[in-house]
Amino acid sequence: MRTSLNELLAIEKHLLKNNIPEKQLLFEANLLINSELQQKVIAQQEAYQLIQLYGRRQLRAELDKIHHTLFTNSIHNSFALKIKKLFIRL
Amino acid sequence: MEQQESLITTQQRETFFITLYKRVFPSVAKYISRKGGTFDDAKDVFQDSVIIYYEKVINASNNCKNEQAYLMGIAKHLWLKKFSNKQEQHLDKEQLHNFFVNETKKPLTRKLLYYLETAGERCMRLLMAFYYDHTSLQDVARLFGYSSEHSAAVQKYKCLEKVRDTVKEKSLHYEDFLE
Repeated sequence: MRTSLNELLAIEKHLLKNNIPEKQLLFEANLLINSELQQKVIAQQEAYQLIQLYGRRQLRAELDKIHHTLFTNSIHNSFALKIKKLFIRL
Repeated sequence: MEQQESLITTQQRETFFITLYKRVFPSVAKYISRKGGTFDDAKDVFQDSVIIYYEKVINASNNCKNEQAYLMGIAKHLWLKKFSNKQEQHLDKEQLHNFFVNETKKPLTRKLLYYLETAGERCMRLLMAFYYDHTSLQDVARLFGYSSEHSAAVQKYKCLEKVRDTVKEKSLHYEDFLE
């Protein structure tokens, strides 16, 4: 892998705490004196958070689709009716 | 549930979620109804519970013994946490999703997510498979059509680099007028 990808991997190991102690120490020492690396670490952390948000959005979209099918497709009529009945307010 | 192997594809997840819907949604809906909530409240609480449950089982090496009890527990907790004062205030849909820390509240995060969803969908799908669904390298290579695990791993890091650089670039671009 090219150098920049190796650096990405090193940051990942640091953030996900997958480093052996010696390497972790070395990375942290480098981090203290390298402001460019500091910025990359912050951005990479944000990238993982964005991936998690994206994952949740995708999952919600899958669930919405299933919900729509269950409450509109006649195959699931009895299930849908059973649920809807619970919310009829007299 | 035989976790990991059985939830790799969208179709497998669909079957799993339909089963959960049929098995657990009636109990959640009954609970929410009794507490004065609406059909949409029940849907939102249930779906949030399923997402939390999914993240738990996909991360865990051991399976959850009683998914119905677990899901009901989350649903009750979410309802009590978010809607205990419902009588005094109109239901705010935004509130329901607040339990997700960092859930697209910041304008910059929203913009970044929108950008990444539209400009780099394949990369985001690949990264989601690795980091969110915890799919194995072998399965990702197969699902995304890479010739080897090594190719899939290299592509993963290229995608992560792209997202990271977008974060850096857009953060600088937006920070002047957003936050």
